Amino acid sequence: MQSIQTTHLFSLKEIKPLEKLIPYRQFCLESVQQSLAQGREKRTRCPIDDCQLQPWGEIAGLEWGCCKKTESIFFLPLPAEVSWRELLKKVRGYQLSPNAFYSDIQLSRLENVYAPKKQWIENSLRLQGLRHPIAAVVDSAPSPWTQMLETSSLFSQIHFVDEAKWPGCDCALLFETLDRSFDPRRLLQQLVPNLKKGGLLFVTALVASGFDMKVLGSKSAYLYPPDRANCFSLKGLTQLLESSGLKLIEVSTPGVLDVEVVKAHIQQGWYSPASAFERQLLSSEPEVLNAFQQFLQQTQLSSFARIVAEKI
Amino acid sequence: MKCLIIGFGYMGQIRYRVLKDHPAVRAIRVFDPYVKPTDDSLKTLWIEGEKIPWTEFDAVFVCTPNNRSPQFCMEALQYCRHVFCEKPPGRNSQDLLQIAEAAKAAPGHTLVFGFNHRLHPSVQAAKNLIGDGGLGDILYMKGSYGKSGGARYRESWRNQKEISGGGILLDQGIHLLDIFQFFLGPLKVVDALLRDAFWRCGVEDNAFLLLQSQSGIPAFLHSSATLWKHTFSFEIGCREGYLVASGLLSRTGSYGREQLVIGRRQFEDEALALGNPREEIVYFDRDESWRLEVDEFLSAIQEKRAATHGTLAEAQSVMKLIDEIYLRR
Repeated sequence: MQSIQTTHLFSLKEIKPLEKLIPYRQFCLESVQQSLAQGREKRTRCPIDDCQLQPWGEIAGLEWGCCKKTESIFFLPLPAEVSWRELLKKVRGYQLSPNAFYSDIQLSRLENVYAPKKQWIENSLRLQGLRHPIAAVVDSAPSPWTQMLETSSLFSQIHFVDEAKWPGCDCALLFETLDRSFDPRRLLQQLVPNLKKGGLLFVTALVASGFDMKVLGSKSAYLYPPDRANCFSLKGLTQLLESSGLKLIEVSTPGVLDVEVVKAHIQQGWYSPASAFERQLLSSEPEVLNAFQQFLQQTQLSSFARIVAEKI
Repeated sequence: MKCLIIGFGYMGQIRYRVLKDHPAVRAIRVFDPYVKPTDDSLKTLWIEGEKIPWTEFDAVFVCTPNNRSPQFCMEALQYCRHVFCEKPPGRNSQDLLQIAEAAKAAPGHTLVFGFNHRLHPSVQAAKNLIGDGGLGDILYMKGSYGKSGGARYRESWRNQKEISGGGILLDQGIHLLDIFQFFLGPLKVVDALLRDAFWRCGVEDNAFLLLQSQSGIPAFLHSSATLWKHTFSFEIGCREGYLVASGLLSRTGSYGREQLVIGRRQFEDEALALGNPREEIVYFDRDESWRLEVDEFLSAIQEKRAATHGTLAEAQSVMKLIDEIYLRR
């Protein structure tokens, strides 16, 4: 198995500035509340190993639970599955609308988020000897990312799918898909049989085991439903993938923003450092903070996870 | 398959560990009159006496000092069947020629040489990333491979010319030469500087080589027994980017964590940081090279086909290069 570290640096404001996220987050929370008002069930079992979820905390009055074994975090009240799908389409529509928070950082996101992702896929396909595979991508609407994929020469065909219907494919892309899936275990159970033997699954996710998620906990503005209804820890995510019949090829946390995310929360008044060490660290020189972020990458303690798995 | 390991030193023990878990291997025996098994579980494997019952075995792994390898290879090819010989394939091209003639006289028998380094994950990954659609054509290669030697360096057979045939280049640098040829094809020597400056064993403790491929791509190699920090690294400059492999997954970990830096060419119109492009560093945590080598050897036997690496032709190519270099001593 391999892990990857990146030296590609960019700032939080170039790709997901906190102050611009807040209105979108509020929209998501209100939409979730409206959806739950039409009916809800409380999730009680962990999608990784079916163990009983324990209480973890509340965000905007909504309950979250925790898997004790893997320390993954899950949003507990769920509406009907049909309502969940409608909810995802609704928030996706907001994301892609002209007034959404991504609109004026489009170019920056193309350079710093999508291009490196595309490069990662390209390198991984070459490393595993997969040339021009048929790809399945979970994405409900055209976006700059889907356009980039379509115009690249990486794939012989791309199928854009919803979670329920998987075509036969050589590789599949789940970019923050498991984070917002109604039933991530079932998604994998339906996907893996349609992935050819030796085919690759590319997964990205925000992980609860990462530095900023561990430090901020329920105060993290990046933790909200539906986008992060499932916040796996790295351990939980790898366990889920392996138990779905996949062999891990690469497990990395090449995030570059953990430290900056915590600092942004302090600046916005969302969080106060709990310990003297935190205060000391966060007030260190940029070289120290960069070195610390590199350490988080090398030791798989950043909150951005990237996994390549192979169907065995 | 019934396998015989001749020589139960460092390499013999590695081959044993891989073979005992291999599904195609039914039995293993060991022939080494110089070593007594200390472990009870190994005692049953030992062949006593000085005669090898060749015909009992399907495949032989020759893991002996360089001066003994050719004789064992020739006998194994003649009286047994398939042969896996550790590098180097003898002390010089003359030794290898004898093995080649024995192989020619036994055409149905598989002969493979152990150049496992090209199967290391960083090397394999680099190979997959160059070329069309990847980092593009190679512009140059350079590499450094060396160790510190250690307190008992002078006593080792590897530094006694009548046994080994040469010094650090033949012992260790040969792997990097093989890797260079893996990427660039056959090479010729442009210049070579050999030194015996520290160890004074009568064989080189440092070799500096300037090489060139048939298409003119230059390569530079440093092989050393005076690298106080154990080092394995090579760099490949390509049209669209570069690769820097360093570290080797090994038993002691002394060569550092095995990794591959992948960098893309970026000029100032593509990014602000001219001369400081974004890189990804891939860390590898598993070395399957020993297993892959043995897998390929045994699969080639079972499938009655030519082996895909460690071939006689590759061995001859690298030994020819070393002979040319040693002529410049």
